[in-house]
Amino acid sequence: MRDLLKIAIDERPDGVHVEVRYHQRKRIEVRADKGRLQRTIVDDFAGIGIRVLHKGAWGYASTSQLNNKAVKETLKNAVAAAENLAPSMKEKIELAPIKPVTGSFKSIGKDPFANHTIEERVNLVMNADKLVREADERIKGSMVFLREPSNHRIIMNSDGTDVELFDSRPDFYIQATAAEAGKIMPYYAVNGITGGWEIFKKYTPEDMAKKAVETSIDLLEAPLAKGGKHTVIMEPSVVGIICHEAIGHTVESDFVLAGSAAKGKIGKKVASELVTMVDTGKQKTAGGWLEVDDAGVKSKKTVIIKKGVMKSYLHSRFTAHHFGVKPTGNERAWEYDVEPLIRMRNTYLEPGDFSKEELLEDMKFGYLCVQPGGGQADSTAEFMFSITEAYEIKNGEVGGLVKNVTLTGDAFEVLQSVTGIGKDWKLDMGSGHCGKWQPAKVDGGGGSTKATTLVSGEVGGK
Amino acid sequence: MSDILAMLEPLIDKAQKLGADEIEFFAQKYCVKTVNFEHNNMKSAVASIVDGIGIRVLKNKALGFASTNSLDKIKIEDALKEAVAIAKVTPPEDNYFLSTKQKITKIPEMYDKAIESFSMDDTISYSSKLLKTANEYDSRVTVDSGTFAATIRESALVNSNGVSISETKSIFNWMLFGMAVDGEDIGSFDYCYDSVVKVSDIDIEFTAKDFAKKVCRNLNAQKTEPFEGPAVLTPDAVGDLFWLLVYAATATQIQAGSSFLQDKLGDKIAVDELTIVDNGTLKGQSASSSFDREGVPHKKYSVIDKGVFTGVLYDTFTANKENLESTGHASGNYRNIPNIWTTNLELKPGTKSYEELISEIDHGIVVNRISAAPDPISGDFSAALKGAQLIKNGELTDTLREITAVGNIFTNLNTITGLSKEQIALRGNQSWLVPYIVMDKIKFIS
Repeated sequence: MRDLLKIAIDERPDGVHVEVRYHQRKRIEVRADKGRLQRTIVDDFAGIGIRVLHKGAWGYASTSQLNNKAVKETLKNAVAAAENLAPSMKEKIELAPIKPVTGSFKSIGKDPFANHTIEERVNLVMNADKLVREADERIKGSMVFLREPSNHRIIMNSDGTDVELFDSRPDFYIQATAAEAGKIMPYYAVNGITGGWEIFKKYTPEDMAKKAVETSIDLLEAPLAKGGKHTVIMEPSVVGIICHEAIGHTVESDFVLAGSAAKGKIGKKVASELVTMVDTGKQKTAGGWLEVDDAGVKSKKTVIIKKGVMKSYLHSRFTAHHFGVKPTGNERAWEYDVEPLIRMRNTYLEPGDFSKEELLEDMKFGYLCVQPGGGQADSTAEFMFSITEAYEIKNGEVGGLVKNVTLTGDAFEVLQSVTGIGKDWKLDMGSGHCGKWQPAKVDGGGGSTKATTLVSGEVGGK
Repeated sequence: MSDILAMLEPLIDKAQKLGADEIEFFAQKYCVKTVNFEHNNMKSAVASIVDGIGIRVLKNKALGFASTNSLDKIKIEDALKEAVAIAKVTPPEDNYFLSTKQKITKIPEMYDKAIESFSMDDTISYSSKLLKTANEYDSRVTVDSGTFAATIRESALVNSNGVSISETKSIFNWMLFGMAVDGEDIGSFDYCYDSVVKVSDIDIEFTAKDFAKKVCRNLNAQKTEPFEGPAVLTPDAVGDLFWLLVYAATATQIQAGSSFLQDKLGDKIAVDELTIVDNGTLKGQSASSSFDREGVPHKKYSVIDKGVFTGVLYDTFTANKENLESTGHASGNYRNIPNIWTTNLELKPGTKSYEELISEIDHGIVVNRISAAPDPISGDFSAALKGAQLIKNGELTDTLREITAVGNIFTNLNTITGLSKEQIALRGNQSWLVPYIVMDKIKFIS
């Protein structure tokens, strides 16, 4: 395969920058719904994508034909596409220089999924589904889903990068739906890592099934949250969502160029000085592990906010040149047939000094937000996230479960309001997929964080 | 695709020799020319050909599925073996049968031969005009990203029940995403998109101007006090919320016991004015096609008629479970087993104009776009409103910020007090034709 890719480098026309990438993604999914094996599928998607920079314009072409002729033809198509586009470019694309990267990188875990048959996966999923269904007569619905995409990439560019990467990024979901007296309350437990079968050691299927069942039943009787501006303690997965959705997207430099809320904020105080926010691909077992990006740039730890002051955006080689800084290694492509975009990796707040008890001790009223559901953020940094598991806090004590909690607000205002960050640091958003025209596997987290935000409750489930 | 059909048909025998009782091959090939935009500029030109095949097999009534992005015979045979191996470890299912041969009526005007001479230069030229029109409409407009693409999409389906059909479509689609920026004032992002079959139907000027109007409207947003009152849902907002109703109407959700519409067929679930029809046979529409993901013809199908729930959406498997015929709603691409979804969904119009509906409201909000993660089972939603506009004494006043609407989509089907006579088309792989809808008793929290 390397020889094939080298053709695109060696036969490039003079003056043309080339990035060539082989990517095979093999996705195996098993899903059971309410005792029925809904699907078991294997999807094999492999090919070569070639991106060229020619006369200040990007051209991209791809092929699933893995032979010399197809690679040459694809290179020709990419160059022709750039040639066509070049006269219409208002700003010519130029790239910041990089140090070429070589080597092989792997994160498939201690017990790779490849060692586990499809039958074993089917049995695991069906057994977990049975555990949920048989746990309590109030459980009326169940869903268990195991997805394991394994990726094999070879990335070369005309600057000399020549790397090979292997990874496996499994997700595991267990959903229980409890129903009683006309009320229906679902809850899902979820886990995702980069690695192998040890995903079931971090949280066992038995533990996850128990958690899903008990929480969905508790939600049947849970009162609605009280709407209004409240102090909240966000556990690491919720902190991860705030970092990723509400702040992270505004500091992606393509979005900054368009005028996001982070534009012009470098060097300015945007958060409490307790806040240091980082994006990095370094953690090998986290969902957003990335050693080398799809443009062939070494992935760097990027401090976005340091002690409340904005320090950096996330860059491609083009935006790094535009802003006069070094590339951060954030260009990622989902599959071989699409070109890389600026994407986050593992995005989190650095840990603080607080114990959970210290965070709680002076809180008269508020909420402990444990697990995020879906949500969105805006160019303005205004965000909306649903919280699927939240508890009322009264006089420093964590009380009962409440339901239908939605957090909204301006992310920078929320970070300004931070009064404490816990020592309990972890990345806990590994099942996360970011959607920005293409999916990307990401992770996020931090220490438990105390801040003020708007809580919408008092709706539904009457 | 006739050459692909010729290649696939002999593989039926091969599959049966490998142990499959029933077999389905669904192949797709996309030839795409795309220009991508970034920061008010064209960023890249992309020429791609993607093809592949999804293989469903049944063995001893158990399902196996595998797909590969290659039409190479060796790769197909590997995937076939994988699908058979999966079926061997899958529990049997009494009602799982593949579709049977049915009369397929070819839908007219699904392919414009002009796409064959539509060059990369043409794609760039349309892209340039799209960007230029949006930027020149108002200097505050900034296009964060977007795309214009011309696609020839071929689909072919062969199964062991004698189904052997193919269709080729031309699709031109485009999209703009961005916001308006006026000094320190950054508006909420917004987007506009469209998709057509014929070159002559491409109207990028309308999309560009509509986008520019939307993002400029989102500037200078103000806060307002909380209240309960009517929401005027624009077609975009209707799409953002009413997908929950489509989801609830799928046989998959109903049979799983996870739908609000369970046991409600024939029941009145909405006001008389609400009528919803799905029609995958409309000529010249990008969401139409002569057959669904498993070879069943599309048809005109009533989902809600004058407020009464009239139609569950079925594929072959879910229909078999109830001894019914598929309604032709199997959906999806070759990389997954079929799911159930709609094609061209029309919400029938009302009698009053949009202006008349607004003029009758003393205190309400026009909901232009929502950001929400509603619960598809209960229908509860808590939605951050984007570019919402305050209505006071029958007139639009401020654009609003930091405001949330809460309600329940199923309960609120009975608080609809008006539908506009104007309908707006939201066209893509799945399309909507939707009026403005006034929905009362929505709680607005700020």
